[in-house]
Amino acid sequence: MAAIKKEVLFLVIFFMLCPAARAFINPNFTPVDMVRQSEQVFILEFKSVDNDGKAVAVISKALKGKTEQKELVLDLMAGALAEDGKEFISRIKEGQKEAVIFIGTFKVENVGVEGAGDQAMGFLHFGNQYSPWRWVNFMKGKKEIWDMVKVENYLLGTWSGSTEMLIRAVDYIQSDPDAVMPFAVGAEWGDKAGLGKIKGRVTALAPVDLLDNGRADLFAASPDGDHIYRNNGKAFTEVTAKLGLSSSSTAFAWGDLNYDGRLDLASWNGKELNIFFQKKDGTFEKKNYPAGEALKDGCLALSVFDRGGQGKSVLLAGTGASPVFLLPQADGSLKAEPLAEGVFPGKDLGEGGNCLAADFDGDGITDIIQLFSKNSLFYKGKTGGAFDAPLTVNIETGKGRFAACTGDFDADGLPDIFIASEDKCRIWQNLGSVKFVELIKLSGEISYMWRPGGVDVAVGDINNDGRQDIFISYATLTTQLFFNRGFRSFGHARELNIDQALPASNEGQQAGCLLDYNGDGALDMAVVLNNGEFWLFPRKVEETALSITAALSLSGAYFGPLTFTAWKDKRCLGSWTVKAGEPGAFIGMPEAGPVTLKWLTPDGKPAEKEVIVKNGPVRVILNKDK
Amino acid sequence: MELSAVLKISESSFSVVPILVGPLQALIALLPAIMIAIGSLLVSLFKPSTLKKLLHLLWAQKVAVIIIALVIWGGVHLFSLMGRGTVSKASAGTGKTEWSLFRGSLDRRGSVPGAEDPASGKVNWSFSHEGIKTFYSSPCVVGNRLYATSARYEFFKNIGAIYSIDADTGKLVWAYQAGYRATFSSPSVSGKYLVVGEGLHFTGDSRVFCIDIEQSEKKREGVKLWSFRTKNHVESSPCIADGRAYVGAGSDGLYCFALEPDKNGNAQLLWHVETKDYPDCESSPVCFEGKVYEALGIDGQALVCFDGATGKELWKVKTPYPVFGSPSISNNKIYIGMGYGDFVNNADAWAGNLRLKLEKEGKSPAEILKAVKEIKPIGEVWCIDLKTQAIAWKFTVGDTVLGSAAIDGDKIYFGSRDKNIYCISTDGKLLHKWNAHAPLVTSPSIGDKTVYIVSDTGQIWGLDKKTFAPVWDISLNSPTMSSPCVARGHVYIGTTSNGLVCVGQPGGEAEKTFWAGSLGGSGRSGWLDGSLLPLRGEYAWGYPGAPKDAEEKLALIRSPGAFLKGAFYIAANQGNVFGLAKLKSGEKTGTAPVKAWFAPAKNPVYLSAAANEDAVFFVDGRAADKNRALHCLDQKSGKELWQYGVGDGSGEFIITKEKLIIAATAKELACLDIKVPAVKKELWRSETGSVAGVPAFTADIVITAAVKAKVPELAALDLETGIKLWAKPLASAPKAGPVFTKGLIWVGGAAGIESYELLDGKQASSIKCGAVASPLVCNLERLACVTSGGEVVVVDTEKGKEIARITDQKAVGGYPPLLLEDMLLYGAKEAILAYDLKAQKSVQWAKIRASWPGIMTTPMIMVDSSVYFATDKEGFICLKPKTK
Repeated sequence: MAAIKKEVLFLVIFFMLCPAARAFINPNFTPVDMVRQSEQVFILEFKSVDNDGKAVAVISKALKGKTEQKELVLDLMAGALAEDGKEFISRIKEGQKEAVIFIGTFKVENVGVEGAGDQAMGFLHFGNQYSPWRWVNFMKGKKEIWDMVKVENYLLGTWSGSTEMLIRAVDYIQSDPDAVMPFAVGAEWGDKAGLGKIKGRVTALAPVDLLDNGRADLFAASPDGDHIYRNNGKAFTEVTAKLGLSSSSTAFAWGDLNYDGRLDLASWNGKELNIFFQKKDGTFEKKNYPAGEALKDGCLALSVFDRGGQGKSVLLAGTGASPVFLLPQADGSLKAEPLAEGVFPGKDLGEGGNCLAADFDGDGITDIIQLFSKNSLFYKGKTGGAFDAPLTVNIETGKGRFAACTGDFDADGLPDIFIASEDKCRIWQNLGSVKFVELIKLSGEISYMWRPGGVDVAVGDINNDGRQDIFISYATLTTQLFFNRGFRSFGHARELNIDQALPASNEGQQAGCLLDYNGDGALDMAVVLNNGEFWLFPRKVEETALSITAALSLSGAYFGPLTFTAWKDKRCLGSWTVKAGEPGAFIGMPEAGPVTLKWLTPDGKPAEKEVIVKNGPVRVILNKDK
Repeated sequence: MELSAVLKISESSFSVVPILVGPLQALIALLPAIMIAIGSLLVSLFKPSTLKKLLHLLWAQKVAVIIIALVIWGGVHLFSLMGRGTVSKASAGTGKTEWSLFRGSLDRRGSVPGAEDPASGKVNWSFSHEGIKTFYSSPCVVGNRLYATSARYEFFKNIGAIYSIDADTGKLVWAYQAGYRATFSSPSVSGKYLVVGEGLHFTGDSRVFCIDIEQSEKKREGVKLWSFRTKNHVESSPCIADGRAYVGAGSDGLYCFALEPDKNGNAQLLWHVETKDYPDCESSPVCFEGKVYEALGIDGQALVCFDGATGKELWKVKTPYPVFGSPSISNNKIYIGMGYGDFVNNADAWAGNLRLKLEKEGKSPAEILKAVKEIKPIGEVWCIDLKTQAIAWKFTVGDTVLGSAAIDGDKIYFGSRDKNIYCISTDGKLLHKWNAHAPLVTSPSIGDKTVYIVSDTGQIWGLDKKTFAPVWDISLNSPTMSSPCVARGHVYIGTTSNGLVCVGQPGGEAEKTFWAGSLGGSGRSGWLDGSLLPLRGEYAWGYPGAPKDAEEKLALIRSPGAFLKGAFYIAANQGNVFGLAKLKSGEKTGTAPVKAWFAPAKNPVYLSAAANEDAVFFVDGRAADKNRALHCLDQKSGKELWQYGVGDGSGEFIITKEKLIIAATAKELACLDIKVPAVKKELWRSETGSVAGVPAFTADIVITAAVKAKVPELAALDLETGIKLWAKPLASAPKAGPVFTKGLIWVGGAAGIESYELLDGKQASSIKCGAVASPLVCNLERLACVTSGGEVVVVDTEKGKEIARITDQKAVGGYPPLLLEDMLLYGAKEAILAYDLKAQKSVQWAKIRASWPGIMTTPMIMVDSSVYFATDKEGFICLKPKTK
């Protein structure tokens, strides 16, 4: 009889708990609500479990509330769902330990069931950064044992990331009375603007600060002829011919390559390297550099590097082998210098060779990761511009064509990597100490909404909440934007879908990027569709949008890449990497106030700058003094 | 000056339900008869023969007598009508004794006729109960009772209650709790029956309740007649008709109950139609001529007509989209709104969810694309002939229509998620459209001349029905899913985080015409407009802001701003430039103001200004400064009209409609006549001693707390002459001016707060709360101050007792808190805290740092839900409602 009554009570609790289950993307059920509404939040570490399902978990930390207890005893076989209980048991036995439990009191009244009254309930999240599992509901029964009631998949709408990120989220929520983890992107596009049609293939779309004034022009790279669009703050006009730019690029880089304070274009057209030097009048003058031996393995990508932070940029070419610095010689040739000494470890890397530059190990000095389909190479940067011999890291780009970018998705100050490939999308979480783990499956809605066939990616704060979001352009599908709810938990920004406004986007894009073209403090989006149409989607800004754009000036002491972190009081907002010639790193601000930017200058000195954002966007130059 | 008059909180003269005729009106009607009777009695007592002669005369002149009697009767009746009109515009006209279905009537007007349309004013009161501030449902008004249901729907709580609330005061009459759960269902009332559902979407065993409101009224607690447990949620609102209650129960079909329980007190289920035939009965049914009409949502997508007695389906009209809105009926036509999306998820979210579902089912990309393409933002309103079931017309809009269409004669009003409110003719032609700039998911209310809508962000708009021009708007500072109820000259509506609110006043009542002085006058805390405190504040602007370069000096502002009719008056001292600045508010809340003028002064300005519609007043300098003066400026131009010398007094002053009282010297209080702004006219001076703060007022008495010949004393002066009426010694030197509230004078001193009788200054109570360090501030029920230890103390002025003491974080600067209805704001180190007086808990309302925006240098004022104060770094700053 008691058992039957208990069953009935379980069922009653089951129905009672259904309101809590109404959690899929509901404004009332974010992690912030969960923490605020819980009486206690504990980090648990499973110590033991027997075959009957009695598990003992040590309370390793009370994140909220107090307790005299040191342990909780849980009955994993108490509920009606034996299979789930068994799986729970096996995971504990396999060594999965960490969980977090949210405890509160649920009122069970007036339902005519014996034993009804105030019930202590717990929502336990049991998964780690490697192995997602699920939310489980527990009810405190007799003798202080917590009985498993049911697996609660609906709570994935509240949190579908890893346990360790959830713990960090709880810490954040507890420490900040204004903590926000949004359920919706909270942004929309204004009226789209067409910029015409681009003939030929477009391989990349990049914002460039051609005039070093913070206003982003757009560069569309094409092996059939590049294009430049000048930004007047309100609209774009194609000025390729006017500026005399006759480049055709399969790889390109912008930088001040002759140290005259103006941005130049290095362009690889598949056979040879041309540098287009910008003149005083803004037009370009082409100079050809026979690559010769320097690029005998081809050139997959170009970038510009201020080697040693001397304020002199050099070209860095990503090849199928070691990346090489390309140093122009007096006789007009190029001398190639390998990025690092030693033999190039070419085995087991697969296809690829593009480079990403950022301070990956958090020592303040820019490093380089050379990406390949199976494994990648990490070149640790040293003061003075040298690099250590490469280490193999387990970052894979996957099959086929890919696009990659860095972003700090969990705001721990270490850049992570996002890759969209022909086969899938990947988030490489930077764990520090040159360790990366692929965790897209534990990253919120993006874990099941990504699509294969990504052709271009960008990271930017599309809703001005200070977090780094992801933008993906696809070969055969419409674009996707994922907003970061915090701690690498992404929501799909449905409101920013463009398929209704631009049905042709369903046929795919060639390239896309994010930029604040009109200086209103909000990031806008530019896409080139497969049919060549070039469109701009400005963010709708009702009131003022607050942001900081941190940039390196061409007239400054060094040109980067430079990685800096942003801090609000004692909380790290994340890291960003900037280079001279780009409009800068965009940090959206949800509210006015001071933010401190911190970085290490190329000569190893710590630097910081407090920026107070009040009424609109603020532009900050990090390398002001020459 | 009576605070109650100043605060505009109406006090009901009626407290019994239902009120149809007031005692005054009844008396007036009977008066002639009474007079005649008395007269006759007197005559008959003293001169019986005269009476006989009188009667003969009256009979002889009967025609004339009848005419005169009719004239008198007509005059009395007319007088009583006029009297009714002037007693209270807001309380007149009950007009309705029931609200038997969602929105109150077949045409879903959502209003009670008889009172003037609310068209001005702010929040009159807000209601919350035991920590529950969420009201998803739509309230209804019957008589002077407001009925509503609440929702506290959290991870560990699923609770709610059914309430009866005094519609005039916002006070709870009774509540029914007893395991009742959070809901979206709105109550329907007919006679003694109140019927309502419970449960939100996932509450799978929700009940339908019937409450006996007569018994509940008597016992002052909710008395249940019966309840019935369904197998799903009951978010639909019942329709009561023909002795029955009809209600949808989501995925458990449509139910019909008898209003009366069976002999055992259980619900009598008359009929029930199952979900398999009638899926998703979310909308609120309507009953007309014995038939019940219910709309079906997802998988149902239809309008169905049932026989009201048997539940037999009579006809069905299929729709292309789910119908969640409740049908409206007028002139044998039925109107329904439909589209993709619900109250929480828009069409895009639906499409995303559908895509996921189909992918999990293994559908091909082409199949998924085809299915998902259909789910897009679209909405329609249909008109269906009740007799023929023919679709008369369809009107298409940009997104779903979730609320009911409200019918007003030959016009139909409805809102859409596409952010527009539409007015179309009953033959389906667009007449007006107005963009509210935010989704409209609820039903409009139709007043006499105004149509009211509320956006999902909590902005209420009143639009002129003819022109569709906005005539009034107010922000609830909270999202809302509740539809407004217009009654008794107000709008009643639920919010998701600010409780149930009553807002607005009838027709164009003038706003406050003067700002009396520091923080709005004696006892005021800087909150005069009744606006709601938002959950959080964030920086909007600063004036003049931080210095732009090394040359520019910091602005030092030491007194709170004054606000009147869209302008702030700020005492600004920057370098060697001193004076008063007028800042005109930006167009929208939170946008930076524009300086209208600057009036210079010889000395720095340390005291707050006062203003009326014609003039602005301020005092410069301190006691030792030369050339100090009280300045009177033209309000529009800032031009100085006159100066009045201020000697060694504090210079603190206050204005009323016609007078200005100032501590002109260390010994004297002066009174000036300010009826004619251009004319400087001193009325009297009175030797009060050194007055602390500003005096308090009643209608004709000035009350001062002062130190005279080293003796602290409380004194009452005649306002017209300055003659001292009485003086009583005080136990200690007053820290600030006295305050008059609840019929008593309150003074803060070294030991605490004392209260005194107005008549003779006799001490009434003493509250030993510690040395008072700030001015006293009060509202109708409470008084607050800050002690020398930095603790905020709150006193119940009715009981004369301390009821709260905030100790977790100390108040800084000795500034009084901003005292609202049930909350107070105060500045602490590095934060502004909001203290809930009911829950007795503080939360951080806004972060402020010494580095930025700086340390508070003045107390706060609140205008239109934004908070203003000065800091040492930015000057005068605005914290607007934080929306993210």
